[in-house]
Amino acid sequence: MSGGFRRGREIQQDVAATADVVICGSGAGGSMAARELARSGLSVMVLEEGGDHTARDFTQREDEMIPALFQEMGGRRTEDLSVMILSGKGLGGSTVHNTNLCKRTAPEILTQWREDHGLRGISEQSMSPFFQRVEQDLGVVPIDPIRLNGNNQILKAGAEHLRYRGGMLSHNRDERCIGSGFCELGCAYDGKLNARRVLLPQAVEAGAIVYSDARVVRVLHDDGEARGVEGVLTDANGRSRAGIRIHTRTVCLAGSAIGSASIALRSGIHDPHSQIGKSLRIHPGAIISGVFDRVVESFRGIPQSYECTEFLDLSKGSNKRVWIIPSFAHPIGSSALTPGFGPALMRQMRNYPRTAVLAGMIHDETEGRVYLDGERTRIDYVPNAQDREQLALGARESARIFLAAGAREVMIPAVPPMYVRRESDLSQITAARFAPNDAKLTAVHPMGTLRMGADPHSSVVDERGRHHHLSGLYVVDGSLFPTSIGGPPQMSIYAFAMKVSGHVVQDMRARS
Amino acid sequence: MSGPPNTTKTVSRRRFLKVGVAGSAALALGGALAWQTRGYEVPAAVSSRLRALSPKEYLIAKAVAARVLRRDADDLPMPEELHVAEYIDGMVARLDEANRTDLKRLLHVLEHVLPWSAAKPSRFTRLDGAGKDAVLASMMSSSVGLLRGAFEALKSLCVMAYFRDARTWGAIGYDGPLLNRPVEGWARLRVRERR
Repeated sequence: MSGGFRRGREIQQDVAATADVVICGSGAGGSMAARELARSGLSVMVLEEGGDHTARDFTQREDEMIPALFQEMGGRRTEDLSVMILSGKGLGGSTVHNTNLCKRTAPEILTQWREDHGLRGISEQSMSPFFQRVEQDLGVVPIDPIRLNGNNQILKAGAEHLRYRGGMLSHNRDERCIGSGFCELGCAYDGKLNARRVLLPQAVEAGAIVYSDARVVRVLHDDGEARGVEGVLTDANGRSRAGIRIHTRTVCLAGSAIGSASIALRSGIHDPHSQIGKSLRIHPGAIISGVFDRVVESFRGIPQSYECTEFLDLSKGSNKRVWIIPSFAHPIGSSALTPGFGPALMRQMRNYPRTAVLAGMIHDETEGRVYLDGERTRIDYVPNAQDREQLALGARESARIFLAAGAREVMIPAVPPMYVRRESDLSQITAARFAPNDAKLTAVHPMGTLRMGADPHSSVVDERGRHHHLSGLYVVDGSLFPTSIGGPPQMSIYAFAMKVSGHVVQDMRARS
Repeated sequence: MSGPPNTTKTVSRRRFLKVGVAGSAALALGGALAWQTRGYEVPAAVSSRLRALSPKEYLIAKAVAARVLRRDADDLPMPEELHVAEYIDGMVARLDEANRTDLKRLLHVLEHVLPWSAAKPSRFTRLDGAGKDAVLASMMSSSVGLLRGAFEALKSLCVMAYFRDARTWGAIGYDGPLLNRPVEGWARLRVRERR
């Protein structure tokens, strides 16, 4: 098969084709699977809901890039509107707008998956070769401390003053990165070694056909076997303009924990224990801002290069499940997260260049749910009492770090906002302040709606990523994860997609 | 500082909007349908350009934006100068149908129902500035979590439409996309290395 990129928005007529494998989604998991499967000699088609955006398209403007790069124009929220969930769309998925954080799945998490979910073949040792390959492929290296921007310097200074554990993060960016600070809007300098820049061209070179603007509606199946997928080709605004139907016996879901679960639910796949869409984890995070007397200009430079892990213990039953990292936005994002309206909002926005922001992201235990209401995908997620304690811990300790770094005032956006000017103010930051729609919560890491496990009563796919009940259906994205992973997920998704791809090839060879 | 709301009532998005629209309809029927639909005229030049909002919804959105984006000093532009309501209409047009329907319903609930719950028995668009602020403040701090979320959704649309404009950036110390200006400092070094 001759590979290539095809834009659905430029295709006028219905498309019907046949392939060995169809991959639904092109983020970290879908791109990795596409490359691996194409290189193994299979004919591969990738169908991606969003558009194809590359460096020349990235204008560094929030109003243009957020609607283009994020699901629901960046406005996706849980059903009660309490948590904003930012997940990507477009070729490369969230790897196009993420900030390039690279961490392997923690050994404690893999142990828990093995012991609690029956994933006997998964361990630090067995996954290590996959991580090594991913790190090589994507050029993962620690960030040079000289590149710490103002926001990250404040986190480091505060954490070191308090003698909190922390360190530099590793990234997949190369010398093209000039530290513009616009990572979350796509890199206009093409400095990210992401799925769009690295893996999809390799997949195409190996023969894969990659469609953008191609939304998969459902998986076709018959007699317990996958038969293909059908969907629509859309215009730039996501409106249907033609149909697409691909016949295949192997389908890989890679549309993120929300998108993949939606496709599975719409497909009417046999799900006797109602597991599809359950066990959603999102790493919710509270936002904490600190105002300084000096100029910080957090919007310049690499946004996230230092982490504080003092309150992050990923062992089972831990009561320290908070990952503290810098988190800054440009004016639209910042003003949306700043409390109040009218002159009060504008006065606070005048502090923009003197403001640093941290996120206390939690390794969550709450299990949310993705479900369908007619054709509409809905998300339920309400942090449980333990997770609210963790959100409060993250906010409290982030505020303490800011005070240690010399902040004049710390603010946690909530109803009403929490203001901290001295240590004694920290006691107001309690779990009670993290009820739904009180403190503002954001999430960027949906996971776990089609989780792996040995027991079909409590999982959707097995250790090989293979659906328990529908032959030929695999999952190759973060939907696989049985629990939260407590850190940036892209490395874990790349590595597990690589692993599952190997199983797909083995299974297909055995079947033929 | 004041404490948090004592109780948070959880209501689903669908239930809230259904109740709200039902309430809105009841108000309209109980009063006079003509009263509800009159008073929403906009110039033909504006209405002909609207892509998603009706003239009535446009005026409600415009009234919300005028209060949410009220400036604290003259160095920031007025929302009207930046055609914020027109931009919101464009954004709503790009939403998927389900979200667009939710948003439009919310505007009607805000116009006809929420002023009553804030002890302001009038249409939102007919209230004076202080009255509108009181309604928005009651949404923002409501004991119903979903109402607070709905306020944040409206506010997000307003700030997107406002802070997208370069005329707002100078006053808040932001210099805009790097692509539009000379590369400075460390970034300049990196560019030189690449060349």
